[in-house]
Amino acid sequence: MSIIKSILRRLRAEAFEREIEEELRFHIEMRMRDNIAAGMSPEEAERDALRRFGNLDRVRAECREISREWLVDGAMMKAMKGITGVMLGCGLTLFLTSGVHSVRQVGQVLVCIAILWWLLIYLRAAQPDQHRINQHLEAVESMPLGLTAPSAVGSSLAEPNHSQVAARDDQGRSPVERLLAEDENG
Amino acid sequence: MAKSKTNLLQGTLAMLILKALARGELHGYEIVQRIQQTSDGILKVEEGSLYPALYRMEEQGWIEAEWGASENNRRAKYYKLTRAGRKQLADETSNWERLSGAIAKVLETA
Repeated sequence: MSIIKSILRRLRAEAFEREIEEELRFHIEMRMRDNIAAGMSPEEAERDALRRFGNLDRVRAECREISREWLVDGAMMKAMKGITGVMLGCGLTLFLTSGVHSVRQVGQVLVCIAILWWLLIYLRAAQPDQHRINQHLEAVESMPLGLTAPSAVGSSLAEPNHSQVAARDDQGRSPVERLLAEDENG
Repeated sequence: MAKSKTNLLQGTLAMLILKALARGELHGYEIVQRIQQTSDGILKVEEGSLYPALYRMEEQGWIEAEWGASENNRRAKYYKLTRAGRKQLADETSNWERLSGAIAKVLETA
């Protein structure tokens, strides 16, 4: 996402919160729509949709937290790197074009400050970026994916109607392997 | 027959989301439906957990999102793969095939 989009979103924090809410609500309402089409009453449809979704408050809070990290860290780090680059450029320009003793000293000081700041930013930023990436990947990987074998008797309207669990198809492929082997071209 | 629940290997949710998006952009509900339908209803995504995963994957640059109009004219957020996401999908698919092949070999051993 571009730095401009990130900064605009930061300024529109309230609007971004509303977007999260709108997206989650849309999902629940789509589930309700399908449940009603399957024969549930509106009340049953809503109960089932919320049950399938899980803890709405927890999901909302997690999404907000991820967005906040992204907006603050991503935009701020890019801004700091940009400012460092500008300072370095100004310092070098002054240093190279100065012809007067006092201006040269000013330029040298600016160059030293810019180089020190650049070193601090990149030494600090390089490791945390990778660390944060690893944390995020671990968070995604730690989310459980349930493989449910539905009961043969008394399945509810909300459950798919299976008479048996077909874990592997006639080619010996598991559900995940079938999904991965799906022809992208149709 | 009692219901049984098995947690798949960790790391499969991101891979399945990337695969679901391989054909084109989808909103969150469609991603859940795609995974369930393609696996004949056996793989069920915990629906709420999808969204933090999507947000993290977007932060990683594997997917990007845009608001659009759904089939019933409601505003919906659509996700699609980026180039980095396609590469990530290829890598994860390769890792999965290697891993599942190795496990199958162990299980076949008498």
